[in-house]
Amino acid sequence: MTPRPARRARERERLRRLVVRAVRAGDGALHRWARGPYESTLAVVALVVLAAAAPVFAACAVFDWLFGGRVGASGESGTDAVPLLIAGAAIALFALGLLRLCRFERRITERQTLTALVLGSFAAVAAFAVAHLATGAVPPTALATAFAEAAATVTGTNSTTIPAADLGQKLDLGGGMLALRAAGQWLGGAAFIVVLVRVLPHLGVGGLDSDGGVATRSARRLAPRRAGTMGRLLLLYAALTVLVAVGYALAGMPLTQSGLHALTTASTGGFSTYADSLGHFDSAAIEWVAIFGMAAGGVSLPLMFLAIRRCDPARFIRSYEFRLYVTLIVFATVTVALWTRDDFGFGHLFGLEHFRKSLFAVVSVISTTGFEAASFIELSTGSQAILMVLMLIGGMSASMAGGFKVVRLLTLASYIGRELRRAIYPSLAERLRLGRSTISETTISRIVGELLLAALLLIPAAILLGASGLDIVGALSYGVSALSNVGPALSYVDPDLPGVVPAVGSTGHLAAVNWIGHLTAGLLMLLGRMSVTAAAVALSVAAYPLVAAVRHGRWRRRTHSPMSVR
Amino acid sequence: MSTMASLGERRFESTPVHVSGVALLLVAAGMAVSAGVALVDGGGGALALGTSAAITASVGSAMMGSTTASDRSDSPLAFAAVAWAWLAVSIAGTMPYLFSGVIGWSEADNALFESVSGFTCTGATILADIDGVAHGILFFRSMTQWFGGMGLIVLAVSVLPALKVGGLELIANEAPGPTADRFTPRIAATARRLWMLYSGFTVAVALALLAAGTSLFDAVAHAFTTVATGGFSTHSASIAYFDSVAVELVVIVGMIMCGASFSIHWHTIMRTRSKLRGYSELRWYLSLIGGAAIALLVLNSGKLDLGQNIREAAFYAASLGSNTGYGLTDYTHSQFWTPSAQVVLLALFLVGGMTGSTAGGMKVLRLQIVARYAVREVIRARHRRAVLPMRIGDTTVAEDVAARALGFVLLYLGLALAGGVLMTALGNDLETGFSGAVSAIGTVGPALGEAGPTSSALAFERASRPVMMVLMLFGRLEVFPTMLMFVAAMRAGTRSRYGRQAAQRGPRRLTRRETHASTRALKRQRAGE
Repeated sequence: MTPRPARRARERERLRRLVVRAVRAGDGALHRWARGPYESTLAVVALVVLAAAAPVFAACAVFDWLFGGRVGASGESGTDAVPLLIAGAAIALFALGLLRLCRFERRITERQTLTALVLGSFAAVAAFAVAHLATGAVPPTALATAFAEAAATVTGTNSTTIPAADLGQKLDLGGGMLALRAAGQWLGGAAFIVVLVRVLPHLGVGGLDSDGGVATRSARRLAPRRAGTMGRLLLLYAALTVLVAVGYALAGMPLTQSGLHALTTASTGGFSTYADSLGHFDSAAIEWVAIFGMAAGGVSLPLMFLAIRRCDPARFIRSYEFRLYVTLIVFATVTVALWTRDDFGFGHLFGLEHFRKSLFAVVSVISTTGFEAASFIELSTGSQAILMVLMLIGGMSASMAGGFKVVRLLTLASYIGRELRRAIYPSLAERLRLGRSTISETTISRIVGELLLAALLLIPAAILLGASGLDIVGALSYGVSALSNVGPALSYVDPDLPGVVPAVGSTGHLAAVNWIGHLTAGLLMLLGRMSVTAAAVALSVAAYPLVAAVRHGRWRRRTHSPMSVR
Repeated sequence: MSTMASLGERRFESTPVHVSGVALLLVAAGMAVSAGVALVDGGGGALALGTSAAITASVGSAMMGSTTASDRSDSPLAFAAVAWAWLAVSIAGTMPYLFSGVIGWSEADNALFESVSGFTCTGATILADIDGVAHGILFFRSMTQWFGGMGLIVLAVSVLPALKVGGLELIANEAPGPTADRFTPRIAATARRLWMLYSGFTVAVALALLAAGTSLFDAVAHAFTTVATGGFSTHSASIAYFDSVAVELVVIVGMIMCGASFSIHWHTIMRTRSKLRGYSELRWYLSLIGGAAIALLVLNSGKLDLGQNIREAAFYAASLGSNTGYGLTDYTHSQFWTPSAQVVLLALFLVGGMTGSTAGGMKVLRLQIVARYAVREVIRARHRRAVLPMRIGDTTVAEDVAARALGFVLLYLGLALAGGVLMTALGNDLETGFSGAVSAIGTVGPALGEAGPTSSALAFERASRPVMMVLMLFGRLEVFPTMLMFVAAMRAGTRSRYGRQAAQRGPRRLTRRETHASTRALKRQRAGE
């Protein structure tokens, strides 16, 4: 490593100490406050998440007073501020009050980490649902709708029920809510980094262990302690957001808008303030910035951090996963550009604009952002099918993107290859490799298990979505889209259904379904974000009393069930 | 044994060619029978069928007579033999359609589609007006499915034990399912019993259909395709033509029975104890069909009146749960069937029947393995050091069997997805394209969208039909043989080349250590005797 100048190192050290002191102070205050009789880590996590929502609400209320008129649909400032402040205060009072009754447990087991993840995300969803209900963004009785909106916010899915006055107009929301939703997507991404470092390594999937086969053992952790790793990744995430915001501003987007859009670009969330997403600005420069931001959001953060820190761009090229990611983008862009002919309104076939629109659609989908420069429905059917496959795949592991992840695709491909070879050589013994590192059998079975769980989940989800108002292509593609946290899906939604903006063909799915569909979609988004395995483990922990009753009670069927939960 | 020796006898050692020749001979016999039917019926097509039979028989006997089957039997060879044989009969099966003019020469690809769809028991048809086609041709068409259902090579092994193309590998690769269950120690006897059972079922279904009031021709033709879970009908309207609850009941029972494992049937009829594994799969299979029927009833309850709803739910749950593909009414009309009900059908397309049955799809046992595997991974995420054997019913599934089943499922889903992308890229709309791919690889027949059960496969773009043909062959032969047929041939080639080099070099002098080893082995052998 090259020696760094002493002055910069000193500054960095000072900053680090400051951050550490702030974190310790917060931690200490929490421990002093939460000293109640009820010992439960899970409750503490959920309540802390709730309490943390209050400052965000307050910040958004302030934003609404200052800039709300520039962003919001009504053009007035401060429409959402009071409800947001009241909701935030109520949530904070509730959470802190209950927190006083709780206490940390001495030891946190692995399964509790997973359950805490699930509970924490539900707490965040609850907070955002309250905000939607309080500000009147959704009707006060539509609890399922609020849940779906909040889930879309927290998980970074570009799917909403909020109508706009017309296509090309702003969403029918105040400035405060727009800011809160964008901030929610960004914070959801930041929380995901925490999950990435703290929880996913326990699951053996998609954590820091898998950076595409490039890293040697020493480089798997960026810092000796997990807190350090987390801080570095969060710093990179924030820097990326600022970079994208500056890019948007330079490309000609109004300042407040570029801030909000940068939050949803870097987090691959995809919320926009306009009904027709980024296509509203109709600017090549803005689209290029968005393409860069989304593509970066789909790249593994540790990989990016190491490449920048060590000034070693070749690290990207050495990563098998990055190579496949770029190959997929290039291949899909060329295919989409070729298959989508001139008459779909994409400009000249081989022109730069046509290429840019195709690239935009591909990057938006593979990074699971869900921005639209033009509606997917304008593409040829074959291109739509390609986009569906990219939705399933998603971005790189340890990135902001959702979906199945490129590295798992690589692993699965080599797994299938090994089974084919085994069909010829039945006694073949072979370890799967990714570059220099071997993939353990445990990792493979986790990956396969995760895929199978997701696949088994999709069919009932599609049935429910179909039962609540979508046609079959819409139901299946929206199921995939929600599970991968993308948002837009295929097929026309029936324009005669109430509450649908007819022209928003590829994003009107959530608005078209009834409350069953809202619940299903919200759950799918959350499951996709947390990984189905984590949710299933959390569920099995939560259902333990019931399981125990069944196993030891009179419903016991077999004496030695191998599948039993012990 | 050696390649040089067989060259001397002017008989090449090539199992794939030999097996293909035998399969062609069997198809020729089927064509001859159909020609007889055409003569009795008098509706024409006898000449076309007779000519086809003659050509097929001569090509088949030439292929069989000029080659010998290799006496080594390993999986690559079995893959190649099975896959090439199916390709050969599919090509031969086009002749009756082309010679009789049912499908014009300019549409030879359509004839191949019809033939592939027949032999793979898919049941997607290219004929728009089936009722106008000569009975002899229709009889042959149904017969292709009957051959394909239990498998031509299984038939060959059972009727021609002197063929010496034995080997469990060969049957295991043709018979659907991850494992081949032997009833008897001798493979030829197992194959014979399978075909006996199969023929018995066919006769039973034909008699039941006759009793339900169909004509003799319809009864036999539908019995062929019911027992094979194929789905070709002799009428454009499929089973709806008869408009009879009795016929529907017979067909439903026939489809469900033949979508269940034949080894269970055998053991039940012979009253021998079966392995219990089969029963667990049977439970799953029946609950899947029952569950699907109930789901369809509930989901369509607002759109259809109760009697019609029950009739359609039961029929389609059985028809698509066994991947037969008979049609009753058009479920793609959204004023009758809800989209959710169609998603249920799509799930049935994917799963299919039981292992060791004539049904297609990825099989219930594999779904069980998948479900168990997923649950096990959840438990393992909680208890990291748990050692959990995978049990299905009362048997423990070995890890390598489970791994192969999972590899199969992943490959199957991947192929269906890739096929769907190709189909849409070649001009079908999304619903038709993807469901068509799933339907083809599951050898179902009807799909969703424009290609419902009452419309023909002409609803698919012409350019996309070859994709379907490939998917059907993949689906019927359970992916691995078709994927590895070329690899296997190459590997067989390299081995014989090494063999030839070794033959030219002559016997190698053994090293001292090897001499010792062989002497010791000989001694041990004598001591054992």
